Amino acid sequence: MTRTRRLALSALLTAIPFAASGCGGTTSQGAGSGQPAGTTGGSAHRVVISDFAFHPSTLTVPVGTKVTFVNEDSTVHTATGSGGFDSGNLQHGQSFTYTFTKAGTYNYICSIHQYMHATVVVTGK
Amino acid sequence: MKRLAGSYRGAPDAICAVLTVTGLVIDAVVHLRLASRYDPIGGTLNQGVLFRVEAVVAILIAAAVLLAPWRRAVYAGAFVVAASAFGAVMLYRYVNVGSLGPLPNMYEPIWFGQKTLSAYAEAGALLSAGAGIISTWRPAHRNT
Repeated sequence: MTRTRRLALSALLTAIPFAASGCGGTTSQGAGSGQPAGTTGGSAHRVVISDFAFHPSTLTVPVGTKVTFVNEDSTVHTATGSGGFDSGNLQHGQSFTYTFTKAGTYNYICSIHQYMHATVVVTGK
Repeated sequence: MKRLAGSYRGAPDAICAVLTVTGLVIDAVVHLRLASRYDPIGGTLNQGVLFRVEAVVAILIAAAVLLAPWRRAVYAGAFVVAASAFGAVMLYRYVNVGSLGPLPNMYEPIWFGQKTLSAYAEAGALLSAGAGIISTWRPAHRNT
């Protein structure tokens, strides 16, 4: 193997994990009740948007949990809910993370496809 | 106005025109109501813009049907508009065709109230406009 080929191979091997980890996706950070994300130290949960629905449709988490909404559909969706959280437009592969800092029931929808609705139930610690 | 009043040969012609106009107007109203919601889908030529264009064209053709129901070209226009709207809603309901050139990906495999209403209205307009084309083809009608 020539030096050029070795260099090309090593560059390729370096690029693969980088591409697999973040290519095409962006992450926004939000916070409940005006607090910066990550200050409450809660665990993380995911809501997947696929087939024009939120999965799971009801998610129960303790206060301080970060919930990440990931759009796996080919079209644009949002996660827009009570309590002031709004992902904005999420293209395919994009995600939005929000930290729920107050207990309560948060109903949310996709503001484009408003028949898509789901709930995050935030319980006290 | 005299021409307008005399432009219907009978109840079937009038019903045909009214159904076509009603279908196109419902189609236009639904598209206008939903347009802003669909603005984020696509770029410059986004789904909201396409909805508004569809609504304006439907309203113009509906007005033409009202004003000149004796003209075959008007019914042909109504038929094309209704067919394109109905064809699009059925295509994007059942087939994920992705983006087509400048057209955004409008795939939405769900029926909901306004969409269903619009599809029925478009189908009704399509059928009545087809009947209007046949009606205005009758030899007796060409002589009026």
